[in-house]
Amino acid sequence: MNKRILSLFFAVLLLVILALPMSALANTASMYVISSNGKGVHLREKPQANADNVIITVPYGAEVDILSTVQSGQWAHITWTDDPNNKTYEGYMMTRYLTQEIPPAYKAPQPAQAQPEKAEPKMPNFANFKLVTPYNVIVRPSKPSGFVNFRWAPSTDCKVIMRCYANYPLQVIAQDGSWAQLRDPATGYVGFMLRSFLTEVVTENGAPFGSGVLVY
Amino acid sequence: MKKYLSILLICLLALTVFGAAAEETAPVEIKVHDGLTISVVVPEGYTFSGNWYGEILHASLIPADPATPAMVLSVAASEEYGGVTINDLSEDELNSLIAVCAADYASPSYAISETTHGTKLIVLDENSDGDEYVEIITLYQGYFVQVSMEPTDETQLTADQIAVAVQLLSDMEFVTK
Repeated sequence: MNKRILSLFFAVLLLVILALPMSALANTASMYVISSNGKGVHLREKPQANADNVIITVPYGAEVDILSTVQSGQWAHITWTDDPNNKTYEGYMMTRYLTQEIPPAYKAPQPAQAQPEKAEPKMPNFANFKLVTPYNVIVRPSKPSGFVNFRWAPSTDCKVIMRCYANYPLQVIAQDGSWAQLRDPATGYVGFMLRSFLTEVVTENGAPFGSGVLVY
Repeated sequence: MKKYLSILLICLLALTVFGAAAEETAPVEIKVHDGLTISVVVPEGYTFSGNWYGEILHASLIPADPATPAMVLSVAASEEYGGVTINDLSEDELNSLIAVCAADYASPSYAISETTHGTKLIVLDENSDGDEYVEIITLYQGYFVQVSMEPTDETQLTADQIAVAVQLLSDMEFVTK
């Protein structure tokens, strides 16, 4: 009887030991490099935007592995493998240039008109909204110095509740193809923002939100 | 006696002149990194207060008159435009940049202006019925520098108010080492 219990114990222990490396691998999240002009983004030795610490430029659309985030989520510690050379680089990249979904092939945006005719207001459309398991995001304005409008309804013609600058944390509670309905944990406000201005938060152990501790 | 009165008057006059000169606001120096400093001339009647949040500076310019719109000055590094200044961009690249800057606008209009030192400025104005704000944006050695302003109430910004925001960036000097 004792021998049987002991064998069972060691069998379970062996299974746990074998499972550990697999769970560590599962905690590494993949994201993709994105930029507003289709150009590559610097991988740096340290989480600092100085000119003298660039390791390499990672191309638009490249897949990178997230090890952790630092500086309140502004930077990610990542690895990237340059496939043709099979060389792996490790360093830091600003999280505003990372996205969970594979970015589309870059297409230059339509140039804005200097003095356009006033367009018809775009009415909000809720038809395709679906609830999601809430997940945390940070705001990613189209230019790093700018802000994104947190609106009453999903239309750029709708009034603004507040303006959110880069890295402001929000929580997505519902979404359609273009818009997210979000809750602001700081104020409790609920509003809408274009999904293209949001980056999903990656947790400290490298896994996407929902499986670890947030770095805030 | 007359001599002493004259001396007293001259001294009082000198104090008034020097006192007025001392009240002129000295430019605020913003150190972006060891090789770049931005010198900002704070408009009369405004108080400047700013902080770095990691790689991003946010500064408030609060007017003494509460009816006057406040401004926000922001400076942030860009990796996709690393080392690039707005004047280096081709016409197509500038048009793309303007479109990107106006991505969250409902009804944008824009104009191109310049600083006193010749650096281009993008003046973006939101013209929708639901919102009103203006952003003046430039790009210098890979850093976005912008000023934003919105009205204190539900009205539209006036041309004079927008001119103050444009002037803030126009008077800005980029000092490189």
